Amino acid sequence: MGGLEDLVDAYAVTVLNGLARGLVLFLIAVGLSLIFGLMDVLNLAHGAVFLLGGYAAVQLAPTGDGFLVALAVAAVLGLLLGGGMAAAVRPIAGRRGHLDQALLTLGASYVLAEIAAIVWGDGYYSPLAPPAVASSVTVLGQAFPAYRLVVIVVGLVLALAVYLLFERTQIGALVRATVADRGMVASLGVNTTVVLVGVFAVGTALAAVGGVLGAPILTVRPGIDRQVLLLALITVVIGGLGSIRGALIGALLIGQVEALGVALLPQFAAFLLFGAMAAVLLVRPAGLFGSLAEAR
Amino acid sequence: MNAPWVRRALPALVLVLLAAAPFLLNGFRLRLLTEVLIFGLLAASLDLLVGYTGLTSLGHALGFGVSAYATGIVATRLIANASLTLLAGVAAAVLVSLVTGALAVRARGVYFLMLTLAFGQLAFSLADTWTPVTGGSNGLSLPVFQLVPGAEGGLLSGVVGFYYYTLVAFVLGYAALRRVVSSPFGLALVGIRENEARMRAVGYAVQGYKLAAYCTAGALAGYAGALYAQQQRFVSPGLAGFETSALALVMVIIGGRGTLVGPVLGAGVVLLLRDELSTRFEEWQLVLGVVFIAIVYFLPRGLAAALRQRRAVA
Amino acid sequence: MNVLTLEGLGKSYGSLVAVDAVDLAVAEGARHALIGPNGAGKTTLFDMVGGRTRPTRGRILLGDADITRRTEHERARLGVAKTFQHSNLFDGLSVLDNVVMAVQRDAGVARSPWRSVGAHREVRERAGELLSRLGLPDRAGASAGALSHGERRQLEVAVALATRPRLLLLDEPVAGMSPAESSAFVELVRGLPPELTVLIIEHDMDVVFTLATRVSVLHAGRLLEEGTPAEVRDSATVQEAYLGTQDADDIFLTPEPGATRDGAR
Repeated sequence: MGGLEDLVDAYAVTVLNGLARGLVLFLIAVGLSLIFGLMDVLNLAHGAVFLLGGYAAVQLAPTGDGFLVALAVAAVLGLLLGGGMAAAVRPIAGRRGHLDQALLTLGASYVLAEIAAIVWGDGYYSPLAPPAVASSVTVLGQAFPAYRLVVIVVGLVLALAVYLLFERTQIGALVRATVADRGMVASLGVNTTVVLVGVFAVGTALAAVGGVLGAPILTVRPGIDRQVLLLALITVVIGGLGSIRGALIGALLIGQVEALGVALLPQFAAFLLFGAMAAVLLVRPAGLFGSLAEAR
Repeated sequence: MNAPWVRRALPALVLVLLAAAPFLLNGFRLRLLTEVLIFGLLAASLDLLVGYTGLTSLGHALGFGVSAYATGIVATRLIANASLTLLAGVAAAVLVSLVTGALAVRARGVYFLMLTLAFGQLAFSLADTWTPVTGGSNGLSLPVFQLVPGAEGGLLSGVVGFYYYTLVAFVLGYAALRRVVSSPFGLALVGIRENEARMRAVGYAVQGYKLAAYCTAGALAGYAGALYAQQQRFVSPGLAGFETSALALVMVIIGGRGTLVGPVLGAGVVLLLRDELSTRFEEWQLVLGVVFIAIVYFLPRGLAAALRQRRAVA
Repeated sequence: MNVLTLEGLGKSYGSLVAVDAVDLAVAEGARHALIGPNGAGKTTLFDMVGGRTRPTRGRILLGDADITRRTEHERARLGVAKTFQHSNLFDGLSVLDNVVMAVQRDAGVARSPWRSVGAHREVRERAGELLSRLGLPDRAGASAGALSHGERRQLEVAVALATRPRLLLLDEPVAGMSPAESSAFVELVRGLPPELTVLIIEHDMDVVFTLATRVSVLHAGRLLEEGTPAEVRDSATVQEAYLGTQDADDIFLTPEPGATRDGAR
């Protein structure tokens, strides 16, 4: 009996780990999803923004002190980058499928990642958690880093805030209407450019903040931008493009699959991820919360 | 200027120049040209999907990588014969294309892009983690390949010999692609790109055609992948990964989609750029990124279209 | 013999019933018109016959064969051809290639990946003949995107005929045409082979009464009346259904301007 309880306890920790990862992933995926929903732009530079957020933590809060400063800097950086990207993408959005924007955002991701590589080299960094939450707490008899609980809480709060912002406020209604029918909103005399740039900026800032939050959990290193981008893409595919709920459910699902996969079958963790995605797409070709019209 | 005889003579002239290349270039450049031909095939096969059928794939390295590994595994465990490993590589690529394509062609628009990206990355992960078979992140080192079973060393061990072998393979592969795009099947693919609904209305099973295009492109990518493994005599997970797919896509866009010859030109430009840059700066990717961005704004229809336009003006 | 038979065909979206249990028989060689106000469900009905929309009830028979569950492209192969409400061609291709696309499918060579398109002489010749028959022989080399509105409709019919259909569905073919183009189009439909069955949705009542041998009136998703053009024009039921407008003749004689969209889509 004791063996079974130990097993359950061990997995409780795994589940919590998965929750923390999933929520970090949500912060990245939600921007990707909204930017696509709004502008029909798949931003392949989104992972590079996360990477820059990670390096902000490395630079400004390597020992955990100054963590809030790092968060603020990353948020501002993300807003600026997002605004800039929105302006850059605007003239080519809607042009001939997704090829040009793929190339443009891919180019941007090369540039951003390479700038990071010039500044921080190819080392592996693991910035420490802020001192106040650097200790461990006991969860179901297992030691668990307090910082990860903080990530879970902050992640949930941000998710809730994003959800409320988009589902319950006037601004959110405007954005949702723009997702559904850009032309209609424009014909109402609303300046859709402001909406588009705003969402691009906020979505990008969330990814940068995710980079800071995730830095003490993940290792900040060259190449993690690609990995994170891929995870975010899978999340968005599973959840359905343009859906906040979808991004959250998808991210939590991926977080769990990843954590459990790594704990149970480390060799095949990648397969579990793609298997989950293939399974969802077989049943629902436009993702859990997407409509086929969006997939077109 | 654009007289028919020019159009007829140009390919012959290019072919003569390519055949004479070993007398014009040093070993280092000839190796690069060999690589250009191989990546030219990869890019041209991707053009069948992107330019002709209108399917943007971000995972075209899948067939390339799978075939390179099949070539490597057969060469290290069974026999390092050039044509047999080539066959094994193409067969593996077709098989993988059939399985992944059946899923991918169900998806529309950007979902197709994401699925193909995921499949390529899956192959990358498999190559990276299945160490007993693939050598993991260390990759596999391969022996010198033989053209004829039993022959020792021989033609393919030298840079010039391998170049001619690749040139023949390239001409065959490129000619096959040319035939495919000018066939009724090729026209049907263009029809799908132009107007899928209309194709269904006149009785085309569109998904079947997409799958056939996906597998044909996969087979050609596999062909290129096997050649690349034979040239480099080394395979590593990166061959199947996102970087390779992105590079191929960039070649297509730079060269001009829907032209076949453009992507081959694109392969030349990108590889030359990469080689020139990487010997001068460590941060060559930065320049490459800037080049990508510049192309989107200043050369949106690719080199082939730009050249044609200049010719038309002149 | 009926080429097309609809048995209790219906489509509902949740609680919204777009088409409600329609029974309809279209005889071979008929020029059968489907009329009704916007939102009557004409386009939904068409889409169900063509295979773009799955019915939620009832059956569709082509000849004796049940095609209710066949996909769009399978129906095209069985002989259901159509022109779209909004002109729908391969704009980037030449006029000839637009027809070749359909002919090569019909001739069974579309899967051939090796011989060039030009080497399939018989396909090009048939495509050329079709263009001549539909009055577009000198436009073969032009890009389809460069055609006038009337020419586009002609080309659409050529593409549809290239599949050698038994049943041709025309969805508001003269919408947006000038009177001259419109009467040219009427002549074109009159010149179609007599054994070909044509089902046509049209708002322009002049066209309907010139062309049709049978007329069915759809109203609020139901079949209201069916008969010869004269019967339908004089039908009390039809007039009653349109009593909302002062004069029933209005509906028949002057189609509302810009009435090219069917509200039931």
